[in-house]
Amino acid sequence: MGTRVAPSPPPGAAELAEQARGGSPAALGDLYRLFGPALFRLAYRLSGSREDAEDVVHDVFVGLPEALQRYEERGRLDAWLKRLTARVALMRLRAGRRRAAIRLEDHEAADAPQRGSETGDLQAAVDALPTSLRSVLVLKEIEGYSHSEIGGMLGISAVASRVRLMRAMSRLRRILGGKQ
Amino acid sequence: MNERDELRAALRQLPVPDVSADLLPRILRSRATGVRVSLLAGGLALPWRWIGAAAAVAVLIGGSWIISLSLSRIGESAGRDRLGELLRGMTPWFPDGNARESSGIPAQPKYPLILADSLDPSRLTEGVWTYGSTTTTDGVLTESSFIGSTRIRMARGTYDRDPAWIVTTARNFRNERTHDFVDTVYIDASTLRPRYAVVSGYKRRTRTVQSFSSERGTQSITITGPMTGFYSGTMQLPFPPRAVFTSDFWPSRLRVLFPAIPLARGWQGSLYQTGLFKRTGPGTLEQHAVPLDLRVRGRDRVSVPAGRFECWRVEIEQHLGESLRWTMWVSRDQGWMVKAELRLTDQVVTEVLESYEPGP
Repeated sequence: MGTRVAPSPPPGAAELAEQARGGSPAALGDLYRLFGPALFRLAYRLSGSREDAEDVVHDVFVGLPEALQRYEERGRLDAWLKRLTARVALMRLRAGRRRAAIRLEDHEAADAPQRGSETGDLQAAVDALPTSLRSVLVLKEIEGYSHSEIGGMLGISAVASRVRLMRAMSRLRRILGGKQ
Repeated sequence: MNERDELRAALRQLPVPDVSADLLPRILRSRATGVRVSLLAGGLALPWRWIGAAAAVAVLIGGSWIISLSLSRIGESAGRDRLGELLRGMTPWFPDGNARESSGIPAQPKYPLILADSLDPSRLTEGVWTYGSTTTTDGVLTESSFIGSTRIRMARGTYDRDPAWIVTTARNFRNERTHDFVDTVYIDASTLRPRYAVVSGYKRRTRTVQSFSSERGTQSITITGPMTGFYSGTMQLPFPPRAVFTSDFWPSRLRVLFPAIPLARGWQGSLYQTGLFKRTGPGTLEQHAVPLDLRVRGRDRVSVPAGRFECWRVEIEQHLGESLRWTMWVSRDQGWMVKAELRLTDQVVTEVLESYEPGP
């Protein structure tokens, strides 16, 4: 089982959060520069679409000053932001699933690895997973969350998260095995 | 390195495109122009946008009532519906994005209207029922943050010296955009029609009062605090005086009626719901009534925190802009609503009976 080793929080994040909470655009910009790329990667992996991922990050940062009113600094800011981003991404997937699927094809032509290559096949296999399985796969295997954390994030039990991961891995193997 | 480790490593190496350079400027522009996003709201967005779509139905229904008011008094400004914010949550359980414009034809009851004469009010009992609700999105995201719990107390009393059931409903929203709501409805003990209802909401700054005679209804909204206002209107009820109805659009209101309804295999009946009001144009609020069609579709054994129950499975079609289909499981012995489920395209809203305390 993989263990997530979280990096130390960037210096000044708490102060920036405090200033952003007060409505400072400069602080919001600094927070974006600190956390935006990581949040975009998470949103992209969950949504499978660059455009949707940017929309997610846009919404997260536009809503951040108000959301920070509820942030009680009990946990790390980066972890809190990731949970927030995952949640927004999942909600957005629900609302725009079809559109995301259409965009994916456009996007693949421009950015994604070519099908037929190992990476391309793996990406296609991940994209083929239903949202419920892909979410757990991304959060566990790529982002490194524990099943307990994923359960808390998705509102499911740790056992359910474990089961979904097993199903996701099984499907991935089946899809990839079928290509060989 | 085993197969799983290899797969994990490959997954982590899947390429991610670069984020657009203009994303931060877009974010800052959005903030500067007043765009706000509520990130911590529950899984179900609140019903106000839905209400906006449902209002399209209202204008087409003969019995609609119009409440005139000056929206400028309550501070409505571009892009911000403060009245909507104040009233938000008064008609819960309706997700946004689910209602569409009306087809142009007002819905008609599909089955015979349920008349008071067909009910058995003696089956109603005093007590307290507590329900918990969850929303599951895409089979993944399960939340209880929209309506955390609903507590319903039924007690015998009087209204205008007539025997009545006093039904108090307290809804605890776990959502930073919405506040707890409490309402009390006085229901005539013989006809089970609502006679008087009062709803408090938004930090108790809003108070909606409805009263119904056999043919007419009146409604007023009182808002205190910084956006003080008073609005009222009346409507002719568009259904017969003996027809049963509910005073708002919350299908779970049926739980009060279920014990008295003679559910049986193949039973079907319709009733009206009224109580929704929405700004339909500059300076107007509108209220309307829509039918709710009920049909017993089968029998199930249902386990919920309050116990295991033999139930009728009742399918309910609600005509709000577009049809919403609910399934409610009603215990055959007591007539309690044990479980309710609303299935949307990608969401399932579920409410289950958590506990029951008998009355005195």
